[in-house]
Amino acid sequence: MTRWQKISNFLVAILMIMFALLILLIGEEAYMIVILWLAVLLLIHSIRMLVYYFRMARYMVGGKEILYRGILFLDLSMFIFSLSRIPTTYVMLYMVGMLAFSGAVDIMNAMDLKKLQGHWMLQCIRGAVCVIGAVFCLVLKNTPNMVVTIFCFMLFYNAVMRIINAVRPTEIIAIQ
Amino acid sequence: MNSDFHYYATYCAAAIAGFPHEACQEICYSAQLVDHCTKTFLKTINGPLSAATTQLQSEMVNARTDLLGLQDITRIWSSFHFLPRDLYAEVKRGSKKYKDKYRLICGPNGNLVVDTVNLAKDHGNEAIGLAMHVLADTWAHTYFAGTPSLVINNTDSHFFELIPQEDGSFVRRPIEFGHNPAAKEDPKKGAYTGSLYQASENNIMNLGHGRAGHLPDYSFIRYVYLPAWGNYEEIVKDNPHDYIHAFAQMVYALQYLNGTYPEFEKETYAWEAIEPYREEIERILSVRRVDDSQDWKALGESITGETIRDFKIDEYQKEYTSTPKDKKDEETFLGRFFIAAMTHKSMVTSRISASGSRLAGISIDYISRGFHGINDYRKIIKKTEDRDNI
Repeated sequence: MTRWQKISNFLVAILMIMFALLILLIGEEAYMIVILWLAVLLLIHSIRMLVYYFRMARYMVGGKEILYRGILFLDLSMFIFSLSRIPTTYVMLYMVGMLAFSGAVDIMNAMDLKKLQGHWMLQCIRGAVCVIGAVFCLVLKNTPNMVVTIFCFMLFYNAVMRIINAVRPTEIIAIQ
Repeated sequence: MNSDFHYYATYCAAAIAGFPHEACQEICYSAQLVDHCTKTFLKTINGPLSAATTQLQSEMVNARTDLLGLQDITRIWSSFHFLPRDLYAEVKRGSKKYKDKYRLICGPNGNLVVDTVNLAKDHGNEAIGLAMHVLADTWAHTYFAGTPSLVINNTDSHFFELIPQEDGSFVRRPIEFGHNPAAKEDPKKGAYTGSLYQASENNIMNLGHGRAGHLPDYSFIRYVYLPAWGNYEEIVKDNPHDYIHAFAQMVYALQYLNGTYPEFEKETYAWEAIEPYREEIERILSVRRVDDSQDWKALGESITGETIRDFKIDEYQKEYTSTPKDKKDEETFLGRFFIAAMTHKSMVTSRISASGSRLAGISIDYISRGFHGINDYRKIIKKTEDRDNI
């Protein structure tokens, strides 16, 4: 990561923290903002994947995987857009799924990094926190206020991880 | 290819081509230096950073992954380790970005190899050694591109080593790459290391042959796999065949460079010249081990009757750092190597740029538009002007 990338990561993290605090202040009213935020992020990600597939990855061996991922994320984003009229139970269930999935992926990546003798501990902690968050979502009350609180927690947590990532060194395999 | 081929085999090739011992040492030193001349190395001796011919792990981690960062990576790896075979290859599919990346796929006997060898003519042993590294790598790194690209450089689980049998047939043995760079490779057990799968197109893990590990660098190995760009058609990579061709072409190129031939042509090999040594060379190439240095060294010493000095990165450093700034480029080995590296990088970048691709940066015509860009390259202009004045 260059110095500029580190600085920009740091600035984005600060903005995320400010946004999380703002939403916390608004409280229950921010429920719609949370849903929109999630949906827009997924939509952008899915469109980028689909564009990449049609422009390049469709000609690659195994490239269909990129298409399936793109469609899956697009489908998820559409699903979330429609959730604004649906009880908070489903939003909570979605958050459970998202947290559990990303937590599991992080833990598996951490195991790979451990084999690579890389910095695995941080990623493992991130995965564990996501899994714990998913468990909390399951046991807590399904109220809009709770959704907003958990979202703010996720935002805040990601901002902190971004700052930590900006200051730590990383390792990769070299090609000679 | 590793130091066994770039250093000791290059020495043997130069000796067979007729170069005297000291010239062979300089040529093979220069060929090996291409794998060591990083920006970190250049900073330690206060050399021009644009002369970098490779990158360290730490440099790649810190490399920018924006357009300019990717262009810097592509300039280095495409110029010195994955010379493109055909910048105008007909590609009937994909976006322009896909076509640009496809055309950077490395391979032997392309027009750029001819340009590379011609550029080294009459430019000293440093330029000759550098050109031999580039030429040899076109054989070893065939089918991979010197730019980060998932759609070109990725491999999947359909990957088999071809194990030769006594009756001349081959048996397929599946290869499963480990991802621990600290793990020792063991060809006897088929334990090899490759980079991790990363779904991001420009991730550094998708640079060159990282996904296929060090297999292209081993002379003994034959393998079958599905290259990402290959439309589900299996490709057989026969390294013993490719390495002997690389060696024979190096000898021919070196014969051209010492004036034996008036012209360097593609698809031409010095089979006659290497005939007395061919059996021994093929034996060395076929032994299942990761380093053939000792056998190549013994062969080189038997050809010239001289002792070959081992490669030491600091051999010419003192000469470079103690020479006055205005005389470094002319009077020091490293100074001449840096000029050769920048001249070659500049040539490859302008060829890629002229093909309509911006993956290695933009090349501007100096005569019509004057000097633009990185200041280090003024050295090349000064050198050219000095030569013209003479």
